[in-house]
Amino acid sequence: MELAVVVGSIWSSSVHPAYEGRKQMLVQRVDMDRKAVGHPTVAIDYMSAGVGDTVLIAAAPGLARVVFKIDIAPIQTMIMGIVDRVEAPGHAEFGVSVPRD
Amino acid sequence: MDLARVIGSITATVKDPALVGVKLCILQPLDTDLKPVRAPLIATDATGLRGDGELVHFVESGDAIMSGLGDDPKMPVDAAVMGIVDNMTVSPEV
Repeated sequence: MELAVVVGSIWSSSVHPAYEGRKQMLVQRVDMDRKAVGHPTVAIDYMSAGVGDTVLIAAAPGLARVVFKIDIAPIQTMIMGIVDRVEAPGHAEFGVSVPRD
Repeated sequence: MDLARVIGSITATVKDPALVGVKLCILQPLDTDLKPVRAPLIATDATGLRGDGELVHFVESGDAIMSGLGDDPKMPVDAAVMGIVDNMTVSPEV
């Protein structure tokens, strides 16, 4: 799993059946200093995350099959949790419960 | 899943039988500023794309194998369009 920050959302009317009714968020992977790594990507959210939240994302084939208990789930990236606080020695703390400057 | 713009299509007469009748489109992966992030790639379409220029999102690698519609979801592909993006909101200050 990786750390990411929710930066936005997308709305699609025409999607694969496995995506119907699921929340699609734009997430930006971040490092331990909350700095962006790579480019933003799309993730399915079943944790009710909001824009600005620090989240845990996971990307693995078959992950969505286990989570949603459906046979056909071509979903690559998912938000698996909302991060309250990241504490790493040598880095400033951040997370949903850490006030931002 | 990355965002992408459909920038073209591919026609191939000789191909795996499972790909017969499947639309192949050329995707340019984008970031949320709609700037290209890497080289274009070819993907199948599971959503009924209307044509070039559409903003979509797609899956890659093992997840694309389950992307077929109908009785047999298994498709011998490594990238597949999963949805057409109608609307996108990005928060700049996050």
